[in-house]
Amino acid sequence: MNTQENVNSYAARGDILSTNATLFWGEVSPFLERILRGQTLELDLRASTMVDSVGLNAIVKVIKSADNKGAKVRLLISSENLKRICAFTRLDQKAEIVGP
Amino acid sequence: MKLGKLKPRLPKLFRKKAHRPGLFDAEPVLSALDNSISNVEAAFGHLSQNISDIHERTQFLRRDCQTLLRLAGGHQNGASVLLEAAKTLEEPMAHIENSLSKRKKLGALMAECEEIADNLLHRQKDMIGKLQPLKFMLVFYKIEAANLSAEHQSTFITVSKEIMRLHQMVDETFRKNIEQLTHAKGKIAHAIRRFDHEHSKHSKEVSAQRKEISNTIATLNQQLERNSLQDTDLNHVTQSFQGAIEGLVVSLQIEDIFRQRCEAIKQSLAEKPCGISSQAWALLNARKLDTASSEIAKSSKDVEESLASILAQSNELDQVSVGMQQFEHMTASADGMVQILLESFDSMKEVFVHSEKLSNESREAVSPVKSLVEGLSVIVTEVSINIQFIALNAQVRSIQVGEGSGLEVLAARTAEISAQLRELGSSTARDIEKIQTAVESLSSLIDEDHSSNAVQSRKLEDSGSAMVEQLHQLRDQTFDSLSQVADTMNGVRSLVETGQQKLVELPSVAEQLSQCSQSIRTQTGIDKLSSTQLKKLEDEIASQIEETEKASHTSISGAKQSTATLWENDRMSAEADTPAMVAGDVELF
Repeated sequence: MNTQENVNSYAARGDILSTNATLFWGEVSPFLERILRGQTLELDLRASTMVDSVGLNAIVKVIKSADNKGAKVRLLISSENLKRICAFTRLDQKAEIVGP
Repeated sequence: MKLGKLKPRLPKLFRKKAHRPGLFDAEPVLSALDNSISNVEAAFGHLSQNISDIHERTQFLRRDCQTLLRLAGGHQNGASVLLEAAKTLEEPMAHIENSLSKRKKLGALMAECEEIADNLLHRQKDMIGKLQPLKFMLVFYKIEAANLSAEHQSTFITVSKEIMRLHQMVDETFRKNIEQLTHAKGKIAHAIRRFDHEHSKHSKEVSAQRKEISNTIATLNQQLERNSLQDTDLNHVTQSFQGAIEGLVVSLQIEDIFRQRCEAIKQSLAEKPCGISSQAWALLNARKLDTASSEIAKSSKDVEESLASILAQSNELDQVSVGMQQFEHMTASADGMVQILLESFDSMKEVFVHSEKLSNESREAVSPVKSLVEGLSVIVTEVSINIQFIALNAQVRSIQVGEGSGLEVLAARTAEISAQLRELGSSTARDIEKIQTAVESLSSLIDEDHSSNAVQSRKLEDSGSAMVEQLHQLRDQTFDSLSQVADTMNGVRSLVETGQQKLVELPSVAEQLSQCSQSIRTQTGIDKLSSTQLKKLEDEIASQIEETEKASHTSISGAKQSTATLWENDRMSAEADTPAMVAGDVELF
């Protein structure tokens, strides 16, 4: 955690799909429990090129949970495909998208 | 016609370097024409192949965009899946609402239990208070008994011991009971607080979900009614995109026209017709070369513009396909119909889990009250009977001992306390009965709520899981469709970019033909002729064309065009906007 910027960072190991969305949620949950009002949870999805419907649901759940605690979510992405999905699903209106 | 076949038939006149007016070296012209045909064939041939691919991909793209639109707008299977999902949610939602209204009764019963438990606590404290004077009286009478005979002392001691035993029993049992009842009351109070909190939370959640689903379905129906597919940016851009591709396909037809034109020039160079001067013939060929040069330059520019337009439109299509601005509630978006329904399923499941937890907590809170009350009922009865026996025994003993021993005062006081305790016991028994009834109703309601929730929860788990799966599939299909659109778009872009690279040769083709024309003019001295001489040559050419036309019975646009018109056509052909117009001019050759 970068205390200066009040940012908690979680890095996904790959795509967020139905096969690993539960694991993703399980790994992000502790970050959500720890996060405080005004802080930002950074989801580093630079290792991901794809997100399916279940994965999107998990990301939306993270954003809503953070929002309920008065925190924000930032998505770091490097894949054009993921960027398209973020724009298409209007996820970019729910969280800050950085990259590619 | 191949160059190899043409060469032997070339008149010697044209093979030599020109020394006389009207003579020119045809070799470089023929070579330039062959090169031009070859270059144009290479560029347009490649483009044609690419266009065929692009065209095919455009068909896929249009199909993918339509699929994307249908999926995003909730058409096709989308609507039925969304409506079915909403219907699946209807039963558990109605159940939860019904269950929530029943829980109001449950909450009232819990509050009643808490109140009665509170009363019972007071009564037990009252009982302890009532027995308290006996403790001091015993001390007093122990002192009094010291003055009595041994027989009377023994009677005193027996009565005192009974009172002591009863006092101790009440004291110990009630204090313990009070402690437990206070704890149980605390648990009920906690359960009531939790209950109120959860009840309010669930009511709000269900109400919000219902409202959201209702709005979602209304929007979906509106979108379906509007037939918004006809009205979307994506649809418009896809149509324009396809139009641009078709335009390019038409532009590429110039390749055939150009080749025919070049072949015609080659043939024209091969044999000078009779009745026309060499200089007029050279001028005619130079002009034909000018026309071919202009045409290929213009076509090259047109194709380049078409490709640039396709590229621009593919970028626009890309943006529009991602934006889908037309749909306020796009099915696949992070706050779209699918997401709302998925969250509703999650929310309902969560409500059922919380309800079960709440039922268990309520049952746990009520359970000790139930057993405590049962125990209390036995104790109160026992205390009441015992005190009556003690009072009776004390009275009997006091009569046996006779007046003045002080035992009659103790007996009278014990009888008084016994009466008070009996009264307290009766009111306690009434409270016990009330609380037992309330606890029974409460337990029964909790069990009923628990079992009906369990049934609904299982139903939601069974049918809901399948629906959730379908909702994810619907959204995944949309993502796949979006991905296909992107892939097709990238393919089109790549093909267009390759096509653009192939076009770079074409301006040099036009330039080469133009140079050939200029060379003919220079070699034959045409460029040095006066306007009168030039006019004379033009008349000669016009006359020749007319003769040729008559001889070949060529029909062009009504067959009776003047020579002036023919010249005009020849000039205009260079500015022809469409291959169809150019095709008409080819007939001139």
